[in-house]
Parts: sequence; structure tokens; C-alpha cells
Amino acid sequence: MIPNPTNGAGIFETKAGEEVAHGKRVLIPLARSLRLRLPGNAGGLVWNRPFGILVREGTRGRLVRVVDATRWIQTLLLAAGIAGAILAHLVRR
Amino acid sequence: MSEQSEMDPQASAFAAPANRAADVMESLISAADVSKVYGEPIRQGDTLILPAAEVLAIAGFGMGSGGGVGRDRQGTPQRGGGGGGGGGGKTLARSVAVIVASPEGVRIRPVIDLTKIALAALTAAGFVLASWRGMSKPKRFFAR
Repeated sequence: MIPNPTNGAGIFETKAGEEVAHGKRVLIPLARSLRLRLPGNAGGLVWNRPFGILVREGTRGRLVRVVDATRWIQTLLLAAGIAGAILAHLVRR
Repeated sequence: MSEQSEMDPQASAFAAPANRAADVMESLISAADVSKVYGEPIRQGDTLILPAAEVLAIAGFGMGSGGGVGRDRQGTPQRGGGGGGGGGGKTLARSVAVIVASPEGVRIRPVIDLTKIALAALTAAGFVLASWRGMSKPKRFFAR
């Protein structure tokens, strides 16, 4: 069964790129993009990020997710910093 | 009389930058494409390498126009106007991972940006230190 990458996309749009053949496998790169447009063409934002690779071997398919390690570590450090600041505030009270 | 010549001069002056802004917006929106995220596949023997990056494009525009009616030195009514606009934008790209496909399987090798992590760690440490020191300072406002 080939997984559906559009599940849980939310406000992001999932797009598939050109298939890349590698031996018996076919790799389909998937990207998620967020497009925001201000009214009256006053500006906008486009955020594209890699989502994963759909690996197809015959009739079988699996999704290999691309993990943004830097973003995860950054988020964890900042969350730890905020939690530490709250804890320091509570301890010194 | 043609439609162009009937158009208000202010409106016609405003139309060109507005169209330009619309063109730039269209090219910005077209940046939401998979080809911008994944690089060209690199083949090395049995191994295939596919680089992946995060791309962020931001643009903003602003424009305005105004006009008025006045009198020249001879007292003849004169009409004038003007307009202007500007815009700016930025594109940011950052390597996220490298996809390595070999006969053994498909693996994702994350690209870790140590500078960003070090900055996040310093910011986190700053939060804790500021909170700790802020609490230890004596409250002089109410002491007197």
C-alpha cells in the first residue's frame, strides 16, 4: 500500500516532484509549502520545506520522512530556556 | 477618445507599479515548487544523493498617490498629483538533509547547523540567567 502524504498537511500544501529512478526503486521527493498572500498584492510569504521521500518498489511504497534536526534542537533549547526561566522565577520567589 | 487618455493621470501613474508588484507576487508564489526544495540528484556508483533545503521567500510592497487643485501666480486653477511606491523582499535557504539511496536502502542524513544551535543555546541560557538575576535584585522602589 502506498501512503498518502497529504494526510495531516493542514494549511500546508503537499507537492510531489519529479520521480528519480534508482535501481528497482523509484524515489518521489515530496515538499510542503505554505503560501500567504496579503490582500491587494501588498506582499506575501512562501515557505517551502522538504517533507519526505516516497520510496516505491513495485506495488509497495513507504514514506521516509525528512526530519529537520536543526529546527528540532532549536525548538527544544528555546523551550528548555523558557521552562528554566519560569522555574528560576518560581524557585527565587 | 481612447480609454487610455480618459484615465485619471494619478490612476495611470499608479497602475504601472501596481502591475509590477503583481508580477513580483506571481513570481514569488511560483517559488512554492518542489524543484526549489530538492537539488539535482547526484549519482556516485550505486549510490544516489539528493540534497534537500528549506526555502523561505518574503516580499512586501507599499504605494501611495495623492493629488490636489491649486492656483498658479496668474490665478489659474492647476491640477497636480504624484505617487510613489516601494518594496522589498528576502529569500532564505538552509540545508536540511541529504537523502542517500544505496542498494541497502534509503536513509536521511540530517544537516545540523551548529551556529543556529549555539545561538539558540545562548538565548536559552540568557532567559534563565535574566530570570535568576532579575529575582535576586533588591526592590529599591518600595524600600524608601
